[in-house]
Amino acid sequence: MTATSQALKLALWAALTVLMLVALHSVFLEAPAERVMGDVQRIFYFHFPSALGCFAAFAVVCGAGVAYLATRHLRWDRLGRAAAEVGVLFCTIVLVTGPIWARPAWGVWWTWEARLTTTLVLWLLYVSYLMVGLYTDSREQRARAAAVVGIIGFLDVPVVYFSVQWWRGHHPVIFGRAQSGGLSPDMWPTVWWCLATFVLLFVALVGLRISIAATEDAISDLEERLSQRG
Amino acid sequence: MNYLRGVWLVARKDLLSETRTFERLSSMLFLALTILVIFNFALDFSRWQMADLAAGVLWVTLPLAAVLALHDSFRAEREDQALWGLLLAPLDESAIYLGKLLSNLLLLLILGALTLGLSAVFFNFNLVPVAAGLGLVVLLNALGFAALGTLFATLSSRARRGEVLLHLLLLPVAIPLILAAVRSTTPLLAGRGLGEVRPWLQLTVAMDVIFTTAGVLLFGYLTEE
Repeated sequence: MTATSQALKLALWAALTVLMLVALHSVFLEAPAERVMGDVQRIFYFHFPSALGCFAAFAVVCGAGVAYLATRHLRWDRLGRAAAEVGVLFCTIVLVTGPIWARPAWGVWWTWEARLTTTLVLWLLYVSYLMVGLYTDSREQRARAAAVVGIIGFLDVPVVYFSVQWWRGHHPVIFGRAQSGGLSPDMWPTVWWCLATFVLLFVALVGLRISIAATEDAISDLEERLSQRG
Repeated sequence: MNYLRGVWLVARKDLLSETRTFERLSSMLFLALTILVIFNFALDFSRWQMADLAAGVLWVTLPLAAVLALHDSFRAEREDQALWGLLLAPLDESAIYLGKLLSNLLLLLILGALTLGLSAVFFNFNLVPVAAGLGLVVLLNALGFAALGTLFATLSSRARRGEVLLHLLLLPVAIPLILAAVRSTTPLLAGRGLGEVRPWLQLTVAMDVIFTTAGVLLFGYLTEE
């Protein structure tokens, strides 16, 4: 590892720490309490950026899959897997924070509303992507399989979205009343701080996961060379 | 060799080996029958409106039974490296995929027809007036299922505990297919026309096109050693 990349990494994590503190301050002390929902609405500042992060992650998974099949460089496989893991993490945050908010706001933990259902199916899709790794032995085989599953999963996302929309019989409302459409203007700075924090958190976690995967690959290369000698 | 003829030859080979034992078809049908019986105890068919229940029961039973047959479609190819022989044949890889898809589709259609017949008996409804509509729904959904299933079975056949993996991969991706199937079956069973379920059928056709195209393009990557 070069000194510049080490310094870059340190800067990234330092910036992330500062941003997190600023975002937390903004969420709990600066943003006004929502008129109807009260403090419970503050969970939105974690919910919304996680949702965006999770969608972005799954686009990265698909892109990395295409890039891997085109170039056969394991770097892309590591990126795909890292993005999927962080994506599943963010998706889980969405699925946990949603019901915590929904219970006081809607009176139920869960409802089969279109966006909730789509997110849950998305979560299932990407957990199944991660499962591929548990069932295959060879690295190249796993990478090819994961790339194919990642691409198919991404193709499935719009179909899931449309079918669930029709099933609920709602016209798609991207920014519904319950979410940002109802935000008062003085809530927006907090939203932006949180978005920036989550973007940086996403980059940092994916970077970390990639470097772990690279180390794992290097170790198994070494093991292979050792076993060939012995 | 003519491309379509190649597709047909691969499908014929699969179907021929199936008719020697009827192993896949019989295990699939037995599973479907068992699931229907279990549903009867779980839901008590006699106490509910048939149209409300039958569609849901049908579209849980069919995909679960289908996964069983799909997994086996590549098992034979893995034994004794038979897939190498197939890949060495003067055929385009996509022709192998489409041939496999075709034989799987035919198996799923037989499963669909027999399960429909069985549920007509169990749920006590008249199959004749709704047969054409339901047949179309089964055909369109079986195509999407076979397209995805053939691709994922290629992948799972070389994995450890591949059958488990195939369930984990196929069922989440197939959720929109199953949803569309249930949504088109319920009105049809209630006696309404095909016009009412047209959007769902169109969505299913779109999925068929997407998944088959993706399968044709991606299959080659999964057969490499």
